[in-house]
Amino acid sequence: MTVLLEVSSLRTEFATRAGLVRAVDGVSLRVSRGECLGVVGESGSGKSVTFASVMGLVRPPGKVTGGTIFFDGRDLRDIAPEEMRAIRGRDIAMTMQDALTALNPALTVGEQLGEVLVAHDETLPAGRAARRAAIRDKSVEMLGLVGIPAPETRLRQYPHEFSGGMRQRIMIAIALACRPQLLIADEPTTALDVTIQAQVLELITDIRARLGMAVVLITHDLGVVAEHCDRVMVMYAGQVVEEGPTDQVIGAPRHPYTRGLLASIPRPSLRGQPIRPIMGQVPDLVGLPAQCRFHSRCPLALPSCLVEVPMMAAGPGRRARCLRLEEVAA
Amino acid sequence: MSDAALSLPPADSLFRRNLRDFRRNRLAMASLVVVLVFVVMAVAAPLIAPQDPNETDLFRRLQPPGWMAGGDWAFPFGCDALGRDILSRIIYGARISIFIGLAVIVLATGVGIAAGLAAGYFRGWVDVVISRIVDILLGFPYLIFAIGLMAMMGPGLLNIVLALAYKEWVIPCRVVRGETLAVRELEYVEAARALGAGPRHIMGREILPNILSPVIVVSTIRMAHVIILEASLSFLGLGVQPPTASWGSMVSDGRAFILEAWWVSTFPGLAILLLVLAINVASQGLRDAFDPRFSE
Amino acid sequence: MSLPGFWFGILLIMLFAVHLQILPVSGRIGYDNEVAAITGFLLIDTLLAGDIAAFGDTLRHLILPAITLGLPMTAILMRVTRTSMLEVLRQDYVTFAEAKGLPRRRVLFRHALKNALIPTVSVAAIETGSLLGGNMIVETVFGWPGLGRLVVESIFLRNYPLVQAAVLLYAVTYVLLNFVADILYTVLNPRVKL
Repeated sequence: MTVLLEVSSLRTEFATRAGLVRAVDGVSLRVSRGECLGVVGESGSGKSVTFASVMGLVRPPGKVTGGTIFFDGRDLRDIAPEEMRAIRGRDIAMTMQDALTALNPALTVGEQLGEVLVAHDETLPAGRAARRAAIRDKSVEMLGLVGIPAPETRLRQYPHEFSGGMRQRIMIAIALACRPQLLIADEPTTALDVTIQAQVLELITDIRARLGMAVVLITHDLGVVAEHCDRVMVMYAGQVVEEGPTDQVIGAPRHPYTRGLLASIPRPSLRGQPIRPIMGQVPDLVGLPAQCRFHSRCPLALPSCLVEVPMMAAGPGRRARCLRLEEVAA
Repeated sequence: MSDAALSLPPADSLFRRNLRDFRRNRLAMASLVVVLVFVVMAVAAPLIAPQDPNETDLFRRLQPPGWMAGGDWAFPFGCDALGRDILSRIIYGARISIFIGLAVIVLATGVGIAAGLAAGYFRGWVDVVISRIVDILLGFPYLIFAIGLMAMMGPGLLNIVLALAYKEWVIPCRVVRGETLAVRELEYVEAARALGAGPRHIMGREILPNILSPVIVVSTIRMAHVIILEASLSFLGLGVQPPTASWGSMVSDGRAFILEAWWVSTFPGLAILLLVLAINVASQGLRDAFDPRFSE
Repeated sequence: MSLPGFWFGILLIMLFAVHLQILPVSGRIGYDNEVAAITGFLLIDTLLAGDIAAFGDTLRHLILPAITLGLPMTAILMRVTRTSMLEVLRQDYVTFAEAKGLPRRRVLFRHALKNALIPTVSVAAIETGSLLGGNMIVETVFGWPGLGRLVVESIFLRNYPLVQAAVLLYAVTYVLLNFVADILYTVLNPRVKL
């Protein structure tokens, strides 16, 4: 499989009153065509900011300060804003956590779907009426694809007239309207009911298979990753701490943080045993010393861990940021 | 953000931090000084004013300011059509503007807080009655409402205060009601209720202290409006009656002489502008420091 | 916004009419340009009379009162729109619109401004009240024979029934203007239905 997105040593910083926050600190990752990469981490681990950086959507006071973002052979940090705009929505699309806030309350669903086509679709016919009809047909097709009944009438409605699950589907339809090569789904299920979560994830997986696009699934739910992703990347405090094929990472974690995450999931097979949460809190990202960031919460921590730890090979296709990675597997 | 919410500092230190934010805002501090200068001017008018504000002398009719030809530095801003010293009248006029501004705001805020707390806390029919009255009052344009009342009650200092306060209380009332509705469901209010506190205790001790800062911010901003309204009423001749000096009526007096004596209406107008601007800027600084939700 | 309207009007007269002498001091039309009253609206009457010079004169008489009345409201609406625009630009749907790769113009005007105008319309409706009150001031300053000045003069003549009727008329006008604003509101904000 060929590489679609390759990020190297990405650094994104936010200038705050308290000091410079390095929200993304030397993140490297790779997404192949058609692949599904799960990105796991708790709030503030930098997973969303990493992909906002890829999209060029980091707002001041945030700024991408280092690294390269190669997409389809081009460094997205190097290209003109207008080219970046053309890539957004056409080649890389994004869905957000909560469709209720991501859809514009004042515009019809049809307009919000159609405008992506207007912005990117060069196959639209030239004539005004023909163009309008083509946009309509494509919009209806997209709503059908994500499973919205009676799409013709639904196009004229506003977001508040839909249920939560429907809105999520509409947001996905908008993101997929131009058949992107990469979909970044930022916490697609967090805002939804459990029953609808499964449906939405099925939908994404199903469409991925049909369109052959790559998906980055950002989540804090390892269960979702286990079910839908080929590979997984675990982030902690702005760094990648472990990555590898999903079944291997979940079966035999190589970083104490991943192990901690797995141990804190309630499981029917472990009934009667207490859930083991990870003690302590994510460190303050201002002025972090160059040492293992999980150190203060790590059950395996040694005084020798107080050094800068690089990503190290941990088997075929696997890497982890831990000096004692051989001893992690519990 | 979440860290800050977790370790909420005690109210006292929050207040001090806000105060420090305000002090650091130089423009707001300068404006506060200007406001204070006007207040001192109003209080100590008899000591400061160089002349008797009501002493007429037709030999000084429309005498130009001190620096102009024919001017006299004993009357630095010149004299009006009756030969009265404009500077002294401005100094005395500050009394009227500031007194009316303060009186209206204090009265309106008091009534507004009581009505807003009751509406927001009891809800039900209390809220319906108060909200309807508020809606009806909002249905009248402010100046027209005040003019109508002044026409009914006749001129006079007290009547101006009443005419303006009749409508002004609506504004703090709406702020207080909205804040109360939001705050009454919070845990600490629930806790007080669970401990058996009565409505008066809850409204006065639990809710009011927590919604006071937006109310104060709004009230200071409104004070600038009230001062302009009073000046407008006086300009139309419906305010304080002559010969008492009021900035609005001074501007009105000068209107007839703009061809030959620009200073008669220019200086009192400048005084209004300066005071209102200073109050506005200071209150915006107050808002930025104490009620960051609304800062830009 | 801190400028008292009546004083602002007088300053404008002093600058443009007295000092620069490019605009008339007060009134609706010069004495030498008067035309026969047909509708009572001088702009229309002068056109009907085919008197272009008189039409221009009427227009010149309108400039200062219009600025005096309109400029403070412009300032208020500008500030409201700015504040709400800053608020709206922080919303998720603006980020999402950017993520869709829409042209910047479309993100700003179609996505952000349409939402940002909602508070502007509300404030504009409320401010029409001060516009009506401002009429009294402006008519007094510029010597226009309008309803506002009639009210003020009636108060001095103790003609209270007229004052009451006029205040009621103002209130009705205000309500009507607010009704128009409500309709405009539903256009901007589909969540609100009449």
